[in-house]
Amino acid sequence: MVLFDKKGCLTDQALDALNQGSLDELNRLEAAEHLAYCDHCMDRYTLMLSWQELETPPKPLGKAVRQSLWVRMMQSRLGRGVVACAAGVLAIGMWSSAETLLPLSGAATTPPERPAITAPAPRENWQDPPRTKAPEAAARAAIEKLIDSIKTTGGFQL
Amino acid sequence: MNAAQFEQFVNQYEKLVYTVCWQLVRERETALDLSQETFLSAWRSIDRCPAGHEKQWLGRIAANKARDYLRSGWNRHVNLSEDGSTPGLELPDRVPTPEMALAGSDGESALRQMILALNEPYKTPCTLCLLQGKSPAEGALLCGRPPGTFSAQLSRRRKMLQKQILERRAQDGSV
Repeated sequence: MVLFDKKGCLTDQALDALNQGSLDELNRLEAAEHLAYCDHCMDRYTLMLSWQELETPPKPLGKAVRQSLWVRMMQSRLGRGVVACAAGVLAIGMWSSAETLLPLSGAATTPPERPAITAPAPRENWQDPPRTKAPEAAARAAIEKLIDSIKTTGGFQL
Repeated sequence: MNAAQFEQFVNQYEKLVYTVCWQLVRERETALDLSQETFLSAWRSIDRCPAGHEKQWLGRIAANKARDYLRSGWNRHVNLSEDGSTPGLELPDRVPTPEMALAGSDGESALRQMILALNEPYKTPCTLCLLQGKSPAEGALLCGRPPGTFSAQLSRRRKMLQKQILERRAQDGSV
């Protein structure tokens, strides 16, 4: 039996054989691999299934799926709760160990010794930084230059 | 979609999903488990379900579940088999790959003939990788198949080719 055509899609014969249960394990694996990615063949297959009576599951799936979802949700919440509890225990443990350890070292009861502050050097020894030009003189020179330019050009020199 | 709506969705499509799983795996209990797994996966990505294509979307998830189950079963069955009666028997490590086994002289043309005589879905992966020297990633891209599927098909067919070569050699030796 030819399972795939030249384009690599399942033949009608293959879909019929799959429906009738006459494919062996390897052929079913090949068909499943193809149906898992080929939209065209999945369309044909679901269309074929819509014309026939479908299999009824031995147990209704709705209840089983709901229970599984609930169990997974609770596992997830329980997991988060366990993590939160562990974090709380760890925080309390660290806090209590800090409480007990710090007094032993004496750090919490006596403040650390500070270095002595020495007196500043006498004012006579201070040196002013060198100044290039007094700010008042510079401003005055700029204003005079501006007045000169107004007089010579009759307006502002840009 | 809330939990109540999803339960209605499950009730509406449970027969379809179970039928797809049953037709692919042919084991009642396994089909039931895979159907349940299908709906659990569907719940996680229900927002991506295209409106009007629910059957195809669920069918694809079910086919993926069945494929994974059959693939693991096939590999286990192939690796654990000790007699030569099982198709696709795992070969000992000493056995060379088909390319190595038939390298040189007439070997290459024999391998080429064997590959060209293959049917789909194996002909394209074997031609691209064993004859044209493409990598599995390039081959998957060229023929539009998912890389995992392409590699699985290539690897499976490669083992079958090894077996064919050994059988051919045994026949030649006995004659």
